[in-house]
Amino acid sequence: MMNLSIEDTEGIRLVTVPGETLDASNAKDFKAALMPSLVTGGKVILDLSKLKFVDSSGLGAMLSALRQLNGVSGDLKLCGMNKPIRALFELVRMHRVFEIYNTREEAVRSFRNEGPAA
Amino acid sequence: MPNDQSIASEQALTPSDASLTHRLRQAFSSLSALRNIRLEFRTGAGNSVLLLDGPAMPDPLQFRLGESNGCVLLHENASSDTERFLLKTAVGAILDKAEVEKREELLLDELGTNWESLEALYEISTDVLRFGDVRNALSRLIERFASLQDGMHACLLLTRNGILHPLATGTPVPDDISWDDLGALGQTVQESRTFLVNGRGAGREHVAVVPGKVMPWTTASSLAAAPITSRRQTVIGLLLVWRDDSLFIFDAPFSRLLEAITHQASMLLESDRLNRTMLENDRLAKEIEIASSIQQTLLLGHAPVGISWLRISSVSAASQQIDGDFVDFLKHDNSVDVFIGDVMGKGIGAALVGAATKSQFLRAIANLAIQGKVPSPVDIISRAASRLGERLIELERFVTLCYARFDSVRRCIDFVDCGHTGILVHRKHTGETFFLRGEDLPLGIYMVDEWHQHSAPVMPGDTFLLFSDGVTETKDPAGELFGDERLIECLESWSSLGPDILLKQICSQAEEFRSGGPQTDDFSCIAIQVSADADDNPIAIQNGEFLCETGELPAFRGWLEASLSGIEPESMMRLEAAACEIFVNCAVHGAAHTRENPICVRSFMGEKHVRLEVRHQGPAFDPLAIPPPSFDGSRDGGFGTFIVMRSADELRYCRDGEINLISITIIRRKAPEAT
Repeated sequence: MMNLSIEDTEGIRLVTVPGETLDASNAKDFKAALMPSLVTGGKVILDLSKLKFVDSSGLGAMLSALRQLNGVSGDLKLCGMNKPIRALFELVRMHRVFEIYNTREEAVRSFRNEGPAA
Repeated sequence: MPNDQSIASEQALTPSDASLTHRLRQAFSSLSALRNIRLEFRTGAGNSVLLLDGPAMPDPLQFRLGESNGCVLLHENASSDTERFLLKTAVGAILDKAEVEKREELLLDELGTNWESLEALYEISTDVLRFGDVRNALSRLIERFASLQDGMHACLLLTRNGILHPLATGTPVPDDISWDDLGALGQTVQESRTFLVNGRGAGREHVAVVPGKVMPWTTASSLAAAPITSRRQTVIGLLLVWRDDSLFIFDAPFSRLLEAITHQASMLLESDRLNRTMLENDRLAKEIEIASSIQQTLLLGHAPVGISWLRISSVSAASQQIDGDFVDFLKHDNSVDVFIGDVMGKGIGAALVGAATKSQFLRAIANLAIQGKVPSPVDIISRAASRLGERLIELERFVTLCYARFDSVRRCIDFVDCGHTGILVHRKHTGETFFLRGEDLPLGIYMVDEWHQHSAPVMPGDTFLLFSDGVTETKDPAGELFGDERLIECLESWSSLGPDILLKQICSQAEEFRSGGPQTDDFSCIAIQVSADADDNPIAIQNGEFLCETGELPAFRGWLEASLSGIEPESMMRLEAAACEIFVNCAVHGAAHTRENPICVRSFMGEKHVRLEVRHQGPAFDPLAIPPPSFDGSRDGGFGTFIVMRSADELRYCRDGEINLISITIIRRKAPEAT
């Protein structure tokens, strides 16, 4: 089971994805570890700043999380993507589906309606 | 006692009148002795037959006989009104019964006559089916009809350019009769009505007598005619019958028979017309098939193969089997020429102009080549246009055309665009897609002395599309155009798989867009792809082997980064994205024997490109069968193949037995220089 770092601050759940890759080799573990944090809905931020590589399986796991949260009136925002991961999201047009922010702070602010989206 | 009327013999009566008189005499013979009844029978001709010889009374009861002028006179001296009423009723009943019987006999006669006619019609119809010759069938019809009565003549006349020509006749008839020559008969028939007249001199009275034309019916004592009509109920002729004697008259039943015969003749003529139309259509269809085959040979050149730095493919589909699009290819020592043209309009006419235009271009190239060097595109256009322009203007046709040369030495494309659709280019190196366009007018608009040639660089991984407007003007059922945007989407999505698959996918997408609607314009498309690794030999090659399982993915990524260390981050990112998707696909679909079935990889690094080859035993892979991913986030999967095709600049796939061989080439992108 993947060890996710989870912090709850003022009603926002911050989940940091460990490791440098999210691909076919660990995407199932990631989904299994993340799922308990999603079942109650709420505001969730996925911090991808440690990731260096994401493939279509990793992308699919994040899409699954988004749909799970939307199904229980929750919301998911992403932050901390490096350039290659951002390029992958743009290649498959997922930057139109996810709300993506440069930093964790920007994502938190957007949840609090304190700042503009990245 | 006989009265003042002449007394005729009963033997002179017609059979039906004789039968009637017999009945009347029988019915009243016993009464006459008691009541002094006198009964007279008067024929229509005025002759009288005395049936019961009683005393003549001053005011006898008179009974009319049907439609004739005959009557029965009853002289009686009844003692009461009741007795008179009974006598009157008795005579009336006998006469009514006789009238009914007479009608029955007439109906039976008519039925018998018509039955014979139907038999004749049936036989003739069978003849038509057997011989398929309408003239022969009509002659038989007329001959058989005329034979129904001894002494009857019949003639079928059909109009051609306002003149009636005999088509079937047993009697010589002039070949140049007009409707006016037929007088009242002609006028009646032209009004789609049947003409019928009896009596001495009928022909002379009702049909005009034209000096110099011997029309046999002018001496007729009975004359009848009915119209022959086309399927649109237009009178196209008539069937004319006549008798010179008075043995028979043409009555109402005969009129119906005549109409039935003319109806049959009309059907025979219509059937013949349809048969001839069908044969003509068959002949035309065969001609179009042959012309289409010739067009495929003459107008559509074959894409050349065996060019080291280019891969070329073309497709052409005509909207009406024969089209005005033409394409051709010419290989020179250091270049390849591609030209595509579209003649305004469709069908055989457009194809002929296309063939002439193409022929003129080939002649221009041959003539200019005599001078010892490969002529430039603009020289070829100028030469061909100078010879074609005036002719096209005279024909009121114009031709849009694009002539492009791919030069392997200068690594550029030289082209002249004469009002064509432009050249669509997808450049893998930069990810851009753009049009190359010229400003010249189509050939045949007006005479032009100066044409303009343009040049643009050609880069490894570039894909060029030359196409006719039938591609972007493909319409969906609502009338929306396929358009440039959808074509660009196809080009960007599928060009990495090579020109063959790209064109298949463009055709497939356009067909899907039409949703079963007709292809209204000619559809021609040429794809030219510059090899991503053209003229770039590898400077480092590495081999690797991994277990066929997704858990090996980190090790594979490590090997890839080590093997290709030093390449630009963007190039590495693209290769890594595509390579990992392929590795996972191999692991997921061929994982039955992970140790016996390793995933073998080999990397090539050149100065301008990097390439990864993957070799693995597994099921065949058809990129065209994979549905596109859902970009709205509604599905998790389906992105893998899309990522591979969009990340790789060139993707090649083939099978070697049960082995999948996949090659990914990435053009090295130089990192932007620091400012």
